[in-house]
Amino acid sequence: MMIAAVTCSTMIPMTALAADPPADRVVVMYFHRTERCPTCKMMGSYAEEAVTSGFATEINQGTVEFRYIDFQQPENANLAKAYKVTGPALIIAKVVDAKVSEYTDLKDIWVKVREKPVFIEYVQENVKVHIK
Amino acid sequence: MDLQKSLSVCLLTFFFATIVVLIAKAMDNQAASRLEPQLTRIADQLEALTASGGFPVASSTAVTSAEKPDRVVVNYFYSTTRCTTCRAIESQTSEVVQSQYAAELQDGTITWKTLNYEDDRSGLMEKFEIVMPVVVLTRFEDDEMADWKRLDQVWGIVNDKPAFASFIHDEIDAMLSEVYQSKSIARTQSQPVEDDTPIDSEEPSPADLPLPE
Repeated sequence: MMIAAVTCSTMIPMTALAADPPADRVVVMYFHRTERCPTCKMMGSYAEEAVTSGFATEINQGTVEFRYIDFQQPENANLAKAYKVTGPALIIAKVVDAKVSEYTDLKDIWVKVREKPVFIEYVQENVKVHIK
Repeated sequence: MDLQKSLSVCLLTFFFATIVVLIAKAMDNQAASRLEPQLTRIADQLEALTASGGFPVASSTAVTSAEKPDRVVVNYFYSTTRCTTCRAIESQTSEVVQSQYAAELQDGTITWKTLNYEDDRSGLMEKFEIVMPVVVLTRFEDDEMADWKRLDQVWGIVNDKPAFASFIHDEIDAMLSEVYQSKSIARTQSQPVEDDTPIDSEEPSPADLPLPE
């Protein structure tokens, strides 16, 4: 069943695929184009590192997920439309009872990408806010 | 004898005419090769304009005259490889400058410039710490750069055209006000960018949002 998840994301932490996700969790989604510019790739890798290094326990428990989503792929069109994604974007969604209760589009990623520690802190702080 | 002279004149005329044609063709080829990079650039700009929905309002009247010693320069730094978002940033910024600051462009208080930072030898790339295409505002006093501001935020809001226009407008206005203040010049406030985007009255509830499978 979870193999289907691979169709909309790459480099998903394997632990996130091990079981059905908990009803309450935080999903961090990095939306990118099929062709990715150097800065876009950098932001994706920084975001993934921020989540995997800062929330290793939560990832193992399935309460935090990180996903790469190619928003130009037809199968991801509904996600792009729902979150109003038209360019590279990092979105953190809080899921309660298996439904999104709120989400944040981290618009400052473009400003903070110059300084990796600042970028990582920015992402981690926002994930923490949604975990609470 | 006359016939021989006439034939000679004809042959010489034909010979020189051939030389002239050949020279003209060679000059055409040289001119074409010189023009090719410029034509490519123009084609790029036209493509970007088309992608952004056409020519900006007032672009035909917003002709920049001589730069004033005290001025704001709106610079767009691009890279050799130009992505869709980069083109959108350029065209949307240009649109704000041309449509909102036509008078300032006309009198030289504002200048719009585009530069390929990968070919730049002026040191501006290092000075502004440019690592990706971006808008940089620079303020000049007596033809000396007095202040600059790199607007990295453009990347985060480029897909929200009204927000982008408003942001560029506010940033230019802030820097422009310093130009006027430094010389105690009264200015007419430019009109803020109006958001004519229809309000989406049917905003979906977060609970209806999908999640990746």
